[in-house]
Amino acid sequence: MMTKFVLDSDCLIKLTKSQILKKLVENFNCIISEKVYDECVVEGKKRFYEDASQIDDLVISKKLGVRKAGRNVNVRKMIGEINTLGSGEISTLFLFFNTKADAVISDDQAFLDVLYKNSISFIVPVDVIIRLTELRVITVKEALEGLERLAPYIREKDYLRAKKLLEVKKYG
Amino acid sequence: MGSISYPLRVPETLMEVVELRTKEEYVDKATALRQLVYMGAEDYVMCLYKKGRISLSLAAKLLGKSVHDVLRLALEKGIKTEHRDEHHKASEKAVRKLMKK
Repeated sequence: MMTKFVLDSDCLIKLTKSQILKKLVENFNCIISEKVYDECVVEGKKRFYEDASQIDDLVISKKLGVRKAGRNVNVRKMIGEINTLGSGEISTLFLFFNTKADAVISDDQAFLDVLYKNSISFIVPVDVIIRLTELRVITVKEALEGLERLAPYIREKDYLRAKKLLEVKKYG
Repeated sequence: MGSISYPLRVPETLMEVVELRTKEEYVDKATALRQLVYMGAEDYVMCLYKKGRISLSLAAKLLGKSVHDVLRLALEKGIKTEHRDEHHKASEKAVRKLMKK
């Protein structure tokens, strides 16, 4: 069975900007909650963000699934005391548990804190880029270009670490 | 977005800033004061977002903006995602285990 990932708004927009999202959703089962769709696509299109239209194209072509998050008692208990998350991340958590997904993809520090403390598997966008290169889903050139587009949003230390890893793959 | 009235005493010096803004921006005093309060609130929310104390979705809700707007604002303010070392390790472990062809 294909690995299933649940994406939040943060990684969805950043992976779109880096032009890696399409490759990811073509090779893995990726889903988002209806709330994340509203945040990224519906609200984004109202404000004429190009990223929103690109994400919607993937939804329309059924490469990126949109699912009802539903409710989950265990998640309710988990987030009971937490006031650092918005409805987008909370719906992503519901969706993760209700669809028995393998991991959450996110780049949101507050969300990653919650995932880490609750031993929920997660992957950050930079690692997605590196791994897709290792799997030869994207070329090193595409990965480096994607990383450059992601650079304004990530810490220099993380950018340089990823760049070094990719250049080792490029030049051996 | 709804609004409520709230009794508030403000320092005289702040009212001088308000006066300045009324002339610079051609707005009345109440509007100028509201704008200054909002600017302070925006900085505070973005500071919490930068520290990882609140998420993107919550920051957007608190500011009455879209998540795209908040990411653009973060870019303008030079706010970048910071991952803790334990987050890096957990992500690297998960990506190797789960992302396979």
